[in-house]
Amino acid sequence: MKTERETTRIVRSWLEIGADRLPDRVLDSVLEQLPQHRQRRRPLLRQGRFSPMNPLAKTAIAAAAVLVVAVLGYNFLPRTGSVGISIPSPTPSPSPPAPSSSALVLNLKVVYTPSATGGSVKWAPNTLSAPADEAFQIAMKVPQELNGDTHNLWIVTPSQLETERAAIVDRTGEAIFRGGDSLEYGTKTYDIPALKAGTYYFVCTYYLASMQGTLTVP
Amino acid sequence: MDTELVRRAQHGDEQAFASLAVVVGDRLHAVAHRILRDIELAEDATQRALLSIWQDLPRLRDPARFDAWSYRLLVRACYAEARRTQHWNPSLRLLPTDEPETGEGLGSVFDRDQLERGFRRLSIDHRAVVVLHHYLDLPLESVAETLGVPLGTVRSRLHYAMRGLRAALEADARPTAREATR
Repeated sequence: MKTERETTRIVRSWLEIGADRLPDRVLDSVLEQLPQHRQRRRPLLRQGRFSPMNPLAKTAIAAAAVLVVAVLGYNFLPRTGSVGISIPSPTPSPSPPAPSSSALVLNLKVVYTPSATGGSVKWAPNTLSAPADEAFQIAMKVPQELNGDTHNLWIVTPSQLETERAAIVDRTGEAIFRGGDSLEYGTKTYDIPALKAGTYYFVCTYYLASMQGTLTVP
Repeated sequence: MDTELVRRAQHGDEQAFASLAVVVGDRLHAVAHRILRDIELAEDATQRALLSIWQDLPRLRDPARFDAWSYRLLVRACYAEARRTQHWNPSLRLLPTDEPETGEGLGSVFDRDQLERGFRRLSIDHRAVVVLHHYLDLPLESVAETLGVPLGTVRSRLHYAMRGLRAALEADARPTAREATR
């Protein structure tokens, strides 16, 4: 019988055997394909194009901004009984269509637990329930500390999760619902089509191992 | 890792990315080959991973974490390749071996064969943990960070995988049916 240490030693020396040089043709092929693969960029403010500002400069600019607003306000805002430049009140802009008041909205949070090794992310709550044969919404809230981290929401059946796991991770697998990516913090609302009664999983394909909750449709 | 090179590549500098790919390509390929156990699949996975790295580099917030991040993309690429091909079969069923053991020198060859079979039975999740920890020598905490899973998950995957590999090695040591009836 082999001891644990012996097994580790054998496995380690076995892993030493194998390819250790990427053929030039593969590298050449990658470099040739670069122009056809555009880089996916984050919104400008989060790309680090602006170098971090020192706190003193921040305070000075904020103070200057307050002063400018105060001076402008004193000089130009209309006062009772005085003549001045009247500023037209802003026309209300159309707000995005509100979800149907009758649609059920399930709230879901992405919870981040920091640790010395980088932390972990999970759903909260980990179980949801929705009525059968009725469309509903899931409002996914991403905390500020995960800004820039990609999350999404897919709904899959247990058999899809079992047989399509690798493809789901690669975002090519079969699913009942495929929600788009969220790159910023805040709330992203997904419109979920009516589901038949049964048990489903709601997952984030980027963190499939830790972000896997159960959706019950009674 | 040269973080300046990473920064330049993040801003679309193809020359910088070419230099980066030369630096990391061999290592990524070596890891892919050890996970997938197939040279062609490993080449495809490495190619796919390098293109993903190029596309997603602007989203990498801390260039100093490039290594861990690139391994994560590589493991995803390995998933994709394993899925795409019919060569990979995680539930491979083995026929019992009937080969006699003929000395200690050949014992290591048997070990290698049995390990190969035992390893092919593991999922990509389990293989990745074994390779990152036992081939790249990454501590378990770094493996967890690289794969984006909790430390406990890494520990349990490693335990399960090593138990499977140990069982595969011990299967070799058991007497064959022919020997048992002698």
